[in-house]
Amino acid sequence: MDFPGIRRLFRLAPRNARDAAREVDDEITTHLALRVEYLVARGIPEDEAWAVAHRRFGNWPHSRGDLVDSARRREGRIRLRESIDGIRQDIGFALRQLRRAPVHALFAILTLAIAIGLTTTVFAAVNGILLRPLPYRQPDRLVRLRSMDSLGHPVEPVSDDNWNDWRHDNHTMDGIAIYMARRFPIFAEGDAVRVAGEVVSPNFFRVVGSRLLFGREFTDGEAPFREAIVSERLWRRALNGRRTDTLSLQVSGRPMVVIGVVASGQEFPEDTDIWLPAPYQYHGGAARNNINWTAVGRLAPGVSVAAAQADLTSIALRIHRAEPEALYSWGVPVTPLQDDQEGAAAGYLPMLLGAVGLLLLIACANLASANLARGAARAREMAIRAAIGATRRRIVRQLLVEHLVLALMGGAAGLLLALALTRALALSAAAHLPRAEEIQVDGRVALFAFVVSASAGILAGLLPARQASRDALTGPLAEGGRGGVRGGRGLPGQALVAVEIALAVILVAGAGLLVQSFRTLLARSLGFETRGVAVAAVTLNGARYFGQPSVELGYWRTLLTTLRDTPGVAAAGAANWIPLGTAGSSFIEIAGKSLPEAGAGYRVVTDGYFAAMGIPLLRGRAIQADDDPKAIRVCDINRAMAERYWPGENPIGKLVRASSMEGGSAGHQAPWLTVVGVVDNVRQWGYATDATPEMYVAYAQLPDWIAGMNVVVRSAGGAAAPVAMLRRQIHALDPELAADIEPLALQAERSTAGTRFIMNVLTLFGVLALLLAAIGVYGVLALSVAQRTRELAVRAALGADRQSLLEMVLAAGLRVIVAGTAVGLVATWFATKLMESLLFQVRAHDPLVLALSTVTIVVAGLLAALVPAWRATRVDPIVALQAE
Amino acid sequence: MPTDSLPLLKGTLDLLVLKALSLGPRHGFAIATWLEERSRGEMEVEDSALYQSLHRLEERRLVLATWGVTDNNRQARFYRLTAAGTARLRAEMETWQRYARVVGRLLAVTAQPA
Repeated sequence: MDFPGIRRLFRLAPRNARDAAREVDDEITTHLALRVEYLVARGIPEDEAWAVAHRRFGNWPHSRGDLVDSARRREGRIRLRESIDGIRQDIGFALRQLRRAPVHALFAILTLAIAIGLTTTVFAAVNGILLRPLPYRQPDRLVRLRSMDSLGHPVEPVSDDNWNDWRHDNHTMDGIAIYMARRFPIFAEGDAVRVAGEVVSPNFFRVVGSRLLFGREFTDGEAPFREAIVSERLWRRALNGRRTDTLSLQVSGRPMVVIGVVASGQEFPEDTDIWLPAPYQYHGGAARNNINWTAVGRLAPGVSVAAAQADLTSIALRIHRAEPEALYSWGVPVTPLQDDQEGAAAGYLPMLLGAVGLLLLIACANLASANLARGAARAREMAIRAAIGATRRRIVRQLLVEHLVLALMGGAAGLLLALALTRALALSAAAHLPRAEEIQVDGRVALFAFVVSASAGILAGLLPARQASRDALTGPLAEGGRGGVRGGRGLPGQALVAVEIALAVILVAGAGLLVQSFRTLLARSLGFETRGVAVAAVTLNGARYFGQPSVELGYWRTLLTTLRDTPGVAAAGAANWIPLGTAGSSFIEIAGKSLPEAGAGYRVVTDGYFAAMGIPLLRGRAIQADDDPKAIRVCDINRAMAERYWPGENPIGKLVRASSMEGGSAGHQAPWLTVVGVVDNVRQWGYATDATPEMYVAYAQLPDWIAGMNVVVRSAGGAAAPVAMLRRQIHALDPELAADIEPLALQAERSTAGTRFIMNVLTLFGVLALLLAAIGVYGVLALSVAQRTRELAVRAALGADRQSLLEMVLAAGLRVIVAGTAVGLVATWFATKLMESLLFQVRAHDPLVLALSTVTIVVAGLLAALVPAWRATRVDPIVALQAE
Repeated sequence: MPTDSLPLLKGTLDLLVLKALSLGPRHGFAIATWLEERSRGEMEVEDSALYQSLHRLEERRLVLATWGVTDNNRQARFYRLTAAGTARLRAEMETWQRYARVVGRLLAVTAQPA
């Protein structure tokens, strides 16, 4: 085995390319001279000898150039190999260092692992949700199409009549499809379930471009309503993954032939399990305003989003000119589908990435300050290395390598952590993050983790390396290696710790703002009482009910009566749409008033619904059991509707009709409803929303178009939500009925899950930041106390009492804390501005939050300073001075 | 260069240089004369090819170069074998001798009746 460093021993200085060339020239000159000498000695005249020497050398002067090249190449390769060897040595040395101080190493690696793991996880989410293209065929050509109202606001849903004109008249699209979400009861292989489904236009799959596992898409134009396409998931669960020509299942009680299976991950919208074709029929007139559909389109090749928008808008405006009553035909906003899918995540994911980046910086600063401290202890070692000839560059490189080794070990552990965290995230966030199942550690994420780790290592190593190389030259050897007092420069690493504190202030304040915002949100009343309430979403299906309104009505009556008779039940009722879910709204007309664009939320309820939901009745009466087809049509309205349409009047007894909901097709007028009562407002769309006008009509007085209802049961005396009892009673009446049953409180909680998720994550970051900053303060002070043992001993010997020593160390700590906090508050002022859109009724500079964050940081810092300060008071003058 | 000198087989030069150095450190010209004299003029190598070979060996850490002074007081680059160079020479020599033996045997075969 050749000793790799031996070359250096034989050489005064490392050579560069120019040296190598000069050396070749010297060598050739010597060679020629020796050859001439040799020839002359054998009797050949000198001038002839020179000619021979050159000829023998070969193809002069090309041969010289070749030799210079090969010498340079050789030097380059040798240098490269030597530096690799050197780094390998450095790595070996770094590993020995780690083994020598295992606690320090373990702590550093853990700190980095947590920071890198979290950073990588957040990046994985950004990667999966924001960066990765949608999984469908040529996803960059997919666009979302919306309606536009007279004010120019985009409105998500579209009407099927408008869609029909768009798709026939455009010149820029390869296809436009519409779809509508529904939950369908499925019955197959003796098992009843409710699944998420979409009613779609027959061209849907050609537009979206989902890959089918097998089978075919719907036939364009006329797809019969006995064909279904199902997800791979449903196919495996309900049809046992059989691949035969005659797959069928019951949907809403009707037999359907399964003609195709969508490959897993190719569902659109995600989590859909069944797609059914919608037959299209032109209605015209007011039906233009029935915007119940969502539209997706595929741009023709080479067409821009703007061109498609211009093309479709001209069609929309033509419709509007021909049919002025078309309210949502003022344009067609077109946006890339990818942007649409990101949704709210696009708003907060970059913020989380920023936050976790701050945390990573804190971790780096922490490591750097800890190593600066250790660097001070290792100053002697560095000085010895410098004394025996290590260059400054060599020392810097060695320290950087030490940090890189630490960082890469931390990064590897962090990647493992990220693997676990992404899996947990994909599962737990599925409900409130779009495309959550695509959050995973792929090549790009792993590369990110590597780059982040390496950068963290270099970042954390720069200061200690600089410090060490300076120490090595100024020489603590001169101080005799004893614990000399450092004067003038203050504590090593105190600037870094101040930076840590500043960064921690930003994170703590950011988390505080979100917590405050969330508390404000939850403090609002939803307008109904969720405690002790269970909800069952039930769709009547099967030949027993289909198209037989009286049977359906009978079912609900029987179920509600049975429930009310069950012991422990305080109230029971049902509604087609309950709060926090989807709902419909209607254009309305009010007798005696001319309000052309008036509208209201439209909900169908049974008697007992308001009592079961805990919605207070303000005046008049609620819908009753005897509001049936034989009685006059009635409705209840909410306070917002009363205030909007009958300000200062008593709305009871007034007449209103749901012109689009109950009228619709040409020639058919909606009936007048008599307002019989006013109920209090409900935040139907969640905590952050305000109540809008709503009307509630009686289920028993309606035609038969509603098959699915939400049965709401309130238990008496504040007992738990009666989920099991509800399931039992529903199945006792009809064992084949599928129902989704859960506590209402769970639905309310789910509506805030996204916000809660961000808040929890940011709070976690805040706590970690606080912890790291506190550790930083502790580390710096502990080291300073250790280094100043002699000074403290002298002070103690000269009569300083314990309290003054304590105060002295605490004051040093406090200076760092206060400086860091002050800088941090300024930075927070700018940073929290960026998260304003995430805050609910809390200002980005909320003084209470900022004050509390400051206090938290200062207290945490002082607590961390207490331990070393206390240790300073325990210095025994005799022991410390005898150690000299 | 005499026209009757042997063309050099590929890879042979490196082996011969290692051999020359196994007898003790020497500079490039000494290696050249060693080759000429020992081969009794039958093997003459272009000097530049010899130095290319030395560069190659140096890069592979088979030889080591240092500046020194010749008998007649000239600065010259002296080459010597490293431990790796010695090991390589031994291995190459064995291979070469086996090769030469086998090739020689095969060429010595005369036609025999079937």
